[in-house]
Amino acid sequence: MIALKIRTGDSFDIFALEEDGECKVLEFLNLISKSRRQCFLKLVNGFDRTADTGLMQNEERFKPLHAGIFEFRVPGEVRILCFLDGSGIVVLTNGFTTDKMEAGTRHASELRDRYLDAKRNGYLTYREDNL
Amino acid sequence: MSDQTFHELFTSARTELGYKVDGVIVEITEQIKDRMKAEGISKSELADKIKVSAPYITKLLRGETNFTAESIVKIADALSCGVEIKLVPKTNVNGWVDLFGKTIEPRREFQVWVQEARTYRNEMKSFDCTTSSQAFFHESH
Repeated sequence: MIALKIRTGDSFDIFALEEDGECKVLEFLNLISKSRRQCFLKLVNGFDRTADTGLMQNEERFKPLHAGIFEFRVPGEVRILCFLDGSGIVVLTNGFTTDKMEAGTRHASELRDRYLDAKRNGYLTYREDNL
Repeated sequence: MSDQTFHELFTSARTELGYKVDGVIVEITEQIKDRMKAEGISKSELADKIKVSAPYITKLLRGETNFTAESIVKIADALSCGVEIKLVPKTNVNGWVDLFGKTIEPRREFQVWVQEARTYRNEMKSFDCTTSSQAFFHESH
């Protein structure tokens, strides 16, 4: 498993997970950057804001779900799920449209467990996107 | 197969009007949420104070309804605040605005220094105290 650093800021560094050469978040962002441009722009804003100034307070844009999973949200449209690793790292797991909420949330928890397992056992690789 | 990297996607997004407008909305809504928390005011209480419906407040916080100068002032009043708006000249390491508002170019050495400082900051973020101190100890002895 690879943790790809996609944004660095004064408050948080943001990573996205890549597994077996596949990054769910990148695939999703590529998809909505064409089909739902305004949603895409809002999500990028959310990442930038979080990296620079910290977690957003407005639950319409960033919300804790359960068991340590959070969501960057564009209400009624799309979600990107994440979890926090320590006090300065946000790890993005996957993204989906709101009609696939249940499967998406389950997948985020599974990815987090595999990330923590890989980290604990020393086979998590870190890489930087061109920041 | 993904066709653009994160860097490419984000760089193109940041040049767009929609991104910049959303940045202003996020800034306002974050300040509103902060003040609501500080004052202990719920959405419905805020709605009552400014004589609108609770769903209207939700829409504002979602960014689905545009703020007007009037709505901002009403919300600020309800949260015991004034409103201050600033237009801030864009600055970066390639061009600063001096006291007279003229764009000036920082010296080349300074640009290099800023880049080095950024690199150092990023290195320190990923600094692993355990392994690095062990490596240092090992090398010193």
